Amino acid sequence: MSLATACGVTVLRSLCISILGVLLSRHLSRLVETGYSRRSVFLLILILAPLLVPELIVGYAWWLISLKLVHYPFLIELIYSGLVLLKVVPVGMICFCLSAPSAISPEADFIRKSVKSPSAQIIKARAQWSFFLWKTVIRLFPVAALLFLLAFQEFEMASLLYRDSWTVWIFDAQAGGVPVTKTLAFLTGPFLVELILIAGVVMVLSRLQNRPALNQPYQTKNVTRVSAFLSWGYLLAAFCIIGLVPFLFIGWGSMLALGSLLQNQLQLKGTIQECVWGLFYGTTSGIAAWGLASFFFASKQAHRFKVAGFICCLPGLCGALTLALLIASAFLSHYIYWLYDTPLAIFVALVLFLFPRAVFLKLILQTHSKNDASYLARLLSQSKNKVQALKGDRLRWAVNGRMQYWAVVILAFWAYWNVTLSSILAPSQAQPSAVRLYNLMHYGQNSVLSAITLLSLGIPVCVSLLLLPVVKKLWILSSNRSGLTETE
Amino acid sequence: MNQKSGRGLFSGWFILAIVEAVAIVAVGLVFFYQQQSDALVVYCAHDAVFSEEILKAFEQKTGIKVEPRFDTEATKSLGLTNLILREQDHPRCDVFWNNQALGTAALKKQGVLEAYQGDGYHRIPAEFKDPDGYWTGFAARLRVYITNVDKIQTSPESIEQKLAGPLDHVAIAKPLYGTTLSHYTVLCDAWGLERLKAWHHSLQERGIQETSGNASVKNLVASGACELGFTDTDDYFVAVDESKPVAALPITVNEQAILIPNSVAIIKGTQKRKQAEALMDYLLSEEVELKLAQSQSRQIPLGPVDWDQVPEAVKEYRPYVTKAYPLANLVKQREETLAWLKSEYLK
Repeated sequence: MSLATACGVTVLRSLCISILGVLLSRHLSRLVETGYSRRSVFLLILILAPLLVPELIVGYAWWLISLKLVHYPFLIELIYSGLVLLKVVPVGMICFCLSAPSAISPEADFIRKSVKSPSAQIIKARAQWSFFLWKTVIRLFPVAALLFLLAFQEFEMASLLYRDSWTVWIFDAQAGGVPVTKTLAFLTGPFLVELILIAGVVMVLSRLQNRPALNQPYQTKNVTRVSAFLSWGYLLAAFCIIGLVPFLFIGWGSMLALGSLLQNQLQLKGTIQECVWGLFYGTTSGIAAWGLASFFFASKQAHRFKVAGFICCLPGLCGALTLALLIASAFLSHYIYWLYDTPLAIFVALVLFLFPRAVFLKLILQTHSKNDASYLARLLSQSKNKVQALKGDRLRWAVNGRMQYWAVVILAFWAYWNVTLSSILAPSQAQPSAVRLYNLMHYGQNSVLSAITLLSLGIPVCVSLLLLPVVKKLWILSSNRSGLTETE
Repeated sequence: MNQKSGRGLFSGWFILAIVEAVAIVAVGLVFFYQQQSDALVVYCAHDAVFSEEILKAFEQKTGIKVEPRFDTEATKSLGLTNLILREQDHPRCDVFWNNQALGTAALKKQGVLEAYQGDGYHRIPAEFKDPDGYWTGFAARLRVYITNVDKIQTSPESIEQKLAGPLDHVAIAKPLYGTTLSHYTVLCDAWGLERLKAWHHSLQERGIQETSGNASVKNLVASGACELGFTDTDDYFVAVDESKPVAALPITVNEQAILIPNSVAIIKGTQKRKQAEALMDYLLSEEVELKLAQSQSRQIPLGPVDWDQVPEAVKEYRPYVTKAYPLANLVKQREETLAWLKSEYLK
């Protein structure tokens, strides 16, 4: 299969996934809007779990499950596309929950539908198109584009399930000994697809920004019982497929082999050492990406900085493989080769990779933090009464700081599990655990591997939980002394 | 909403910057400390599961610290052989432990290896090493047909019969890399490129299942999804250890088995020549060949060893050491095969 064909297949698949994903996430977001207050934590877990379970683990589990289907490539393709769809839908849901409502008010739409006179301007094709454009296309397009990009760049699962994709194709080209310069030339086509899409989104968003008056106030829609039932069913199914099935695979094996892993000092030491490197990379790049996102996209930041921020998003939006190859070739150039085998290459790559994700999380939290509770907590923290000020700071931690902490943790977790960047750019003596796991997964399933995977999964989770009270204490302390933790 | 009271010395930004700086300094210090250890950098394409233990044993025996970088499914994107070529102006690798020989032989042609003929070199038979000492083979795998015994008999006749018909229940790894590339290179040498092309196209037309690697072939056959596959003995033994219903039969070309040895070479420009030589001698020793034979991958020793210590399953393959297809002079055929395969797969 040629690169053009592989790229075409990926485009077609991503198109289907983005269209389905956008419809699903629009529908599901209504459930979030109505069910948020009542079952928010449970709902949040169901929504976020597919987004947070590493592709490596999902791909591995489903590769083993789909072995028997080798004679039905269409079914494997369906499984793969389904997995990608389930992974991108939460992103779409979050986007819909946070995005402005349609530019066309329900009243205006009602009037359009009610008008029967054939001479009325409003029922003419041009007006109908305008309604369609402003009511549907402009709201859906940016979300669809984002889902398309995520599906288009997917690599780990495509590689494990042996699916045709431009990312896998370029992987193979590298394995065949194609030089970096030529590989970078191969990237031109996919890169153009991504750039065109991003440019389209930027145009739409800038057009929306120029018409703020058209934005309508939020209106909570009614969700029918059947619709709510189906939505909950979808969320549970997605949670089981992406989260539960791989976890059962790992959990069962771990039960059998955790003891022997703990006795094997060599393997245990190596795993922990690599987990620590993964945590180092994840923490440093997560904090840096979050800091940069907070700087560039602060609510009162100048327009030129926001534009610069969007430009900085481009490398990360082009996917881990493209980014890894570009950074590898840059660090192998004559001028900075001396920095090649150091953690700098992977640090730079991870920050660029995480930056658009950090911006995404930042925009979510920005919307969340602009509420009365946050404002009142800030007022309280500025009280001259020390006790009141301390309570204000604690409140601010609850409404603002804690969210920021978890945002950095999520970013670090994504970096920790990134195989592509780590395997290509991490120094040989400082490889993170994801690379070892990918290596071991290549040889097939066994219980020791499951135990190592569980350990690698458990360490960052435990560290993030243990650090929470420490960071909270520091946050309140610094807040109390400075009265400033505002990062908007 | 963006008020700043300015009550103290520290701002949120300042705290964030301090935390980041502390984390980066910590990473830098640990990395710098590791760099000071003057470890020998080994690029290792042999399975990490088996090679790590051997490298640790070398460390304990000699006190020379080793920093391995393993080839993975993921790093296939760069591939250790390509990585060595890419880094040839500024090499960071000292010793290359490849899990096959032809890729290493190709590196000799590129001028990135240094010759060394130590004790280890002399104990390995001539057909498994470079005559000038640029690389030396040891502990080999056999290319085998793996069969699911519940579905097909493991005899040359039944396999031949199966290969003559539809192949939708037969699996092979993509021949662009790995030992399948070595297999194709041998066929190119024995048959000529045109016949190899015709055979390859015939396999594809008859619906052979092409997978990402030999482990996938093993998985397909072990699970019963396929009846027959082309793989290596190390993958076959993984299935045996998992009590899967599999058997293996060596693949022969002109009545010679395709024996694929590991190979080790010193990279040109290494600053740790003495340590590199020590590692090379260790890897080529009887001790390591026995360890690899006793490991889960059950590699076949090439040099003289105490065969009483070799597992029975490996002893069965001993006769093939003397009737193996010679690989040492197949660099040109490999280049030809690879060029054709690239035109097939990387259009």
